[in-house]
Amino acid sequence: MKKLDNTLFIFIVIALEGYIILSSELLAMRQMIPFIGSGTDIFAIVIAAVLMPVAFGYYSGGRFNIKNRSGNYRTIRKKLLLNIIIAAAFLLPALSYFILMFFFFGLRELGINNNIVQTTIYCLIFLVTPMYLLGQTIPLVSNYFSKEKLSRNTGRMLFISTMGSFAGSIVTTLVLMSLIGVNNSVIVIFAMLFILIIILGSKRTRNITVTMIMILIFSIILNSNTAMEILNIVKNNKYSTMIIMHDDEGTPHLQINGNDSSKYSKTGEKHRYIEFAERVAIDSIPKNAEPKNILIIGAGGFTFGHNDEKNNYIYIDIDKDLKEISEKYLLKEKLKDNKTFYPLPARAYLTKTDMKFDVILLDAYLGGLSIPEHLVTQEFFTEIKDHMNDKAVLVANFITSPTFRNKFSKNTDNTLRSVFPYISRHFINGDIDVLLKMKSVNSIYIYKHFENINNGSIFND
Amino acid sequence: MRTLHQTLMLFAIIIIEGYIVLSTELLAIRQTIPYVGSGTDTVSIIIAAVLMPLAFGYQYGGRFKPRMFFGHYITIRAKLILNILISATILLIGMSHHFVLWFFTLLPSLGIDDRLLQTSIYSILFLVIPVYLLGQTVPLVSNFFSKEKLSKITGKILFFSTVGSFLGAILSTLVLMAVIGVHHTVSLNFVLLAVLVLMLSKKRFSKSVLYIFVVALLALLFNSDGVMNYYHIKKNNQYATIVAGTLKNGNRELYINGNNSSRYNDAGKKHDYIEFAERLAISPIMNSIPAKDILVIGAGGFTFGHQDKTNSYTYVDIDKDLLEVAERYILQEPIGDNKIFVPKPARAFLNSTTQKYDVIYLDAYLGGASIPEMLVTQEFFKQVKSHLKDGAILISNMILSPHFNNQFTRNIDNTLRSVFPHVSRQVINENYNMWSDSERLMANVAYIYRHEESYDKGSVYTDNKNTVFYDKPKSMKP
Repeated sequence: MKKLDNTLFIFIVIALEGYIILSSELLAMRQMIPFIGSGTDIFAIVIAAVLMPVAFGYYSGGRFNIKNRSGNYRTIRKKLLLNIIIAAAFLLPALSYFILMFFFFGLRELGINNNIVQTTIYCLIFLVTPMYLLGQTIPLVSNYFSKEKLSRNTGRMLFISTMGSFAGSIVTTLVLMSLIGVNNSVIVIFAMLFILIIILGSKRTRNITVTMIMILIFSIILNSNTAMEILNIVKNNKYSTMIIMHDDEGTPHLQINGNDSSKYSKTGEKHRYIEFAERVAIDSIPKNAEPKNILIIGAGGFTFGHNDEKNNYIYIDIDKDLKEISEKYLLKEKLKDNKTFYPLPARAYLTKTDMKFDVILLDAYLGGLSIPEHLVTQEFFTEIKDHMNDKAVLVANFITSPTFRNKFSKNTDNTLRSVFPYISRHFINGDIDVLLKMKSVNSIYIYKHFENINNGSIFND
Repeated sequence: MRTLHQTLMLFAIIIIEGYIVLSTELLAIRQTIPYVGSGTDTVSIIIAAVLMPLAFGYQYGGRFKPRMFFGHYITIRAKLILNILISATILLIGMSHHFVLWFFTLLPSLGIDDRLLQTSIYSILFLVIPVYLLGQTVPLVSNFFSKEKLSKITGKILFFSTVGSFLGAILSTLVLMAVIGVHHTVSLNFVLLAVLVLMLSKKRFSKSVLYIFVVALLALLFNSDGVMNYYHIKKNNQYATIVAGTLKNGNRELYINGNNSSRYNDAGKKHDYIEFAERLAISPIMNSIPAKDILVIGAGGFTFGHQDKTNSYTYVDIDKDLLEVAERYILQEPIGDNKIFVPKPARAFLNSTTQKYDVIYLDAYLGGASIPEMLVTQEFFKQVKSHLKDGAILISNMILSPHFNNQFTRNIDNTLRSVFPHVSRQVINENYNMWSDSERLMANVAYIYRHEESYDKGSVYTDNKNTVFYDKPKSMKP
């Protein structure tokens, strides 16, 4: 109790609580991406699953009575410790990639394939309870402040809590995930929960402290670099979880957020859609032509054009770690001198350059669930068109319904055609036999840009 | 001259001349189809190349007076015979399959690829002069009629000339081309030209008679079944020159009007675009119960779906001879009990039936030059759409610029999409040739459409209004 008499400690508790809530929210979003994708809808559900329980937590914490219905006494300190330890127990599986892998696999095995439903179930099981309990912290610790300076103390508590949340969002995402990886950022959360227990604990709550130590150890084991290596995770930054897997032929595959993004064998074999795009856009360039300028949006494993040492390539991807991983595990060599990598968001790059290209490959659309929403709009495609030379070639790889059986496929097609009116939509050879049964396949749009084109008319009787 | 004064003989000459001119015009249109297509543009050039010389021929024939020419006195009779002999000589080249084939092979090698230009050159070389000369027949023959009943005689002359033209149009196209074939119809014209010379000649065994009979015999030879067999021509009717047989690499090939329409061999190998369409639309419903209804517009060699013995196929093609040729030379067996052939124009068939289909395969567009214009219009595609069941698949094979490098390709795309807004477009065998600047480069292009009765056209994603997160699939499970 002595420690809590110190205002500084109280504010540390509040700041840590703010940090942990926001950091957990962001880590939850990030950890789910490989399993259910990244979309505004997913984020909205997670945010809702944090805000609502926190609100009820505030309300419930304010009404806490040290004498419960059965007449027993529970101290505020005990209540806080209990809340933290229960929250930690829930967050341990909620934020560990290892456990989530089994969780989402289990959901699919149970026939639950809808990603919105999966997110909701995840939130209900793993997030609602800890957020509700952690939300009670501020009103509970407010009991330690003098009642006479209510408005002043309320202002300070909200300030410190919000600063903690601010740090939770900035430090976790921009600093920790980039520097130490997502897995270690998760461990930091549990370390903070442990600090909370230490601050709030006493000799009489040693059991809780021991339990917290065990949870911390588990979190370290589950999120250790060794565990990541077991799962073949070679990078786990704020954008993606990168896994290197080897197929039966020993060919390395690069998985980005659960999607098989690239492969490159000893004989130079790549994904079929990449090889198709190369045949259409690169291999058919006349041998005596001047070197072409080629832009790739969505670098993947840098396999597109890897064997081409004549033309000039610029790869754009938001994830700066891709190059190192690709060179080390996939290509097994450095990118050639005719290739440059800009780790930038695609639209930021297009806005800042006036350069025009002879070939553009759009390959930023990972598996159907992970759609970068800002890269499917009319404005983005217009930006792309503005960066095409006369007679330039655009190849865009989408994962959509081959027969337009969902709104996404129709609207993507509408949006593309509103900018590129004359465009082919190709399916690679291996998909033809099962095309009509497939929900989603590689739908490859192919466009040749003519500066002056007559849109023509419609034939009628 | 006494014979000539017999009115009946004069009118017979006028009828035969009328027949030959119209028949020649239609045969020229038909003979050039394999090389320049059957578009309104090429047809109109040939019609113009007949009408204009005909008009000048009338005018010149009316002004002709017997006179000395290179030391010879040219009578009206001699002029008529000379005209026919010159016409027959030129038509012998212009109407015979062997020479027409050589001519249209020669033009591209000289850099003349434009089919309108090709048609114009053909018409100038082979049609203008003979039609001009034959056009002189009516005014020249009118000299043998009494001048006293001018209006009555003029009326009769025009009547018989028009009857001859009528017969030339109806008889040659609907009867002769269908029954004895195009090549024998050509031969008949030369027989008629010989008859004309015989009727006009005073002596039965003159040089002129001998010459025209030599020309007629050559025409019979050049257009004989033997020559047709040499070129593997199995049918040569009013719609198409059908070449069929085992032509190369053990493949049985079908050429319709010069276009390689079908391929089949003992291993069941077909054209790549046919196999693509089968893999996509037929393989998933093979042996389905109940059987699916499949409509094929443009039967070709009846290879599409040939191995499918369960689903119900209806093949529609304007050319009734295709079935016999396909069964005999391509498939080498009957098409099968689950397949019927309706020899009808596609639009007439669609108008006559309310049946809906699970799969429609549109394969009526032969090589680039031969586009049936009535089968690329918005109205036709709407007719096709109205015959699709809910969830049905439409595949269309067209010969187009792979990357929209000509107006025709863009207009076809506009027209198709005006009826089928969400349609995939795949160039067969990846023949996109993205770095070719040629506007004439063509490839087999498949349009693929799945029909939904309750159709939502969807919207466009903008930065301001972006519903991707609503629209994207909620599950990736197939």
